[in-house]
Amino acid sequence: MAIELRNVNYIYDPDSTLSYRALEDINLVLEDGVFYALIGHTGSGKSTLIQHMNGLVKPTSGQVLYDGKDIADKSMDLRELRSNVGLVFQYPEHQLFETTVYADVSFGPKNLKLSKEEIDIRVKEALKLAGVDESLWEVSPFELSGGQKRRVAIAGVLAMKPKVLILDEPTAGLDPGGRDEILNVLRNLHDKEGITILLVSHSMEDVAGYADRIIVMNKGRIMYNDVPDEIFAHAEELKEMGLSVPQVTSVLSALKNKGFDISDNITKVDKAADEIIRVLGLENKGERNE
Amino acid sequence: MDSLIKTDNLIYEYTKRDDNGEVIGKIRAVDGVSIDVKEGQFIAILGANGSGKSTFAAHLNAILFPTEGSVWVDGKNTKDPANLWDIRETAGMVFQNPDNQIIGQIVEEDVGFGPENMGIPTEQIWERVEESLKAVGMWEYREHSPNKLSGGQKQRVSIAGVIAMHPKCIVLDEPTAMLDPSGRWEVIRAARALNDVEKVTIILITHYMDEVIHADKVFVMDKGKIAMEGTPREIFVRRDELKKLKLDVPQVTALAHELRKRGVNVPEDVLTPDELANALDALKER
Repeated sequence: MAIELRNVNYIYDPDSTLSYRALEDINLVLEDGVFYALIGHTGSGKSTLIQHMNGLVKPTSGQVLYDGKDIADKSMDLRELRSNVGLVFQYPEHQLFETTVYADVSFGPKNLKLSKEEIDIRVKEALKLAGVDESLWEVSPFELSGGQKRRVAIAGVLAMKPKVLILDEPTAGLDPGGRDEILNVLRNLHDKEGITILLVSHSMEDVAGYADRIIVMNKGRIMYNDVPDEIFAHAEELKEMGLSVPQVTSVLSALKNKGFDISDNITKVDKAADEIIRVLGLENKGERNE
Repeated sequence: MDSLIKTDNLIYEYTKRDDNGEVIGKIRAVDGVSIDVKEGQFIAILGANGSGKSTFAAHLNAILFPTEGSVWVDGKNTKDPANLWDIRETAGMVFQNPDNQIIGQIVEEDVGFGPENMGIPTEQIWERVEESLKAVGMWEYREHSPNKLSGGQKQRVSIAGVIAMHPKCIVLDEPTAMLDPSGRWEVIRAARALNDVEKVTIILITHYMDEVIHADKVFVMDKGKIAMEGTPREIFVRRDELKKLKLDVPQVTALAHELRKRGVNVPEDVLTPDELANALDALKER
């Protein structure tokens, strides 16, 4: 397993009157090579949780383990941990600062004191993986579109060769085209490079379409950790938590309420169409028999 | 109905300079846009990143001025500096990031800031604060600190701050981009209620296809121009064109499309899950 959290609690300002419990009794295992999504309304503890995973925040109580080793342990090399567990913050393009795309992506590997050749290999590989066209490598990052900038920022993290990539709302503010580009980059990193992905998102359609498993947080606790179809079967509970279900799931639920014998734990367009056709086909046959 | 906002062949260009300040070219961000928004309409503007929609919106309350062409807000040309304050009182703006728009320490102070600046008598300021916060469902939070509110609540306070100035029109520039599903829903519901009940003209700029389904009219921008215009139903049946412009259709419309492709006879222009469920239910009964 890549990352494990055992009985993790986190309290902000524990000794003051503003003391606030952001994480409560978190037990979570992230397995290698799985595409996870993390959903929850604003303030549910998502950002605090992901900051525990590469040691940016230390738990008030409990343990965070990477590869079976407690990251609070003195022998833990935090620099290495942060190379292995890459964190892409919200609006990462605000952190671009170099004069060219290439220089920006090489900043991280340079800090690792790698050889020039190794840096060059890593930067080019990262830019390719992030889908940044070669014609843009010598351009200033500030000349790029929103989606392109964000992919450069992701390349900067990929150049550190992470085994786990955690992204906090990487598609916020992007148009649907830019959103699909980023999500396809993530799918590719997962499918072809075997990188473990944790995607924090507010879009139910996106997480249903891409993730193997979805973790749902509410008030600092993990409510569900399951495959998408099972998660979105909890439509009422999700609504109470300020979340929603994909639109196709709503169509199937509405049909079920109308008396159709139909499964409503489906979250993708293709599968929903299959299910509707199956049910309509059966209904038609039934009529003919009468 | 009277025109509230009218643009005629609006062009906006800016000069691009290199690191040494030398001019290296001109960018035309808005390229010949003519629209006519009537009082009381709910208008949506869609467009990919960089299509010029925010630059266009910034002309509607005289933050930017046309390089060529004209903009009239409630009959007043934005070019005339004497009209500036009237225009900004007529068309209020709400932006993407709520944290950049809230300045008060307490919610009601923040909302009262606009009318106070307009020189409204104190008595009336409090009336306006009350009606505005009630209009967006935030009255019970009037004595809270804005810092403790959720994103959707902050955006509703921003909207209340604009309403308190009694604008005829509110321009919302991607107001939900940073919000979770319930926050998005709260903001869109508040905008629709203002339009329905108070007859405030709404211009909503967004990347979320499902937020525009209730609009009277949708404009799609591409490379600074209006590429498509029509009702949401008219726009969302043109799925391939939208995809080319880096946009999409609501997921339920995509499902209807997929079903039609496989021979199920549902309308191609459905916009909500209930509509599609009803259409499928009707098929069964036949």
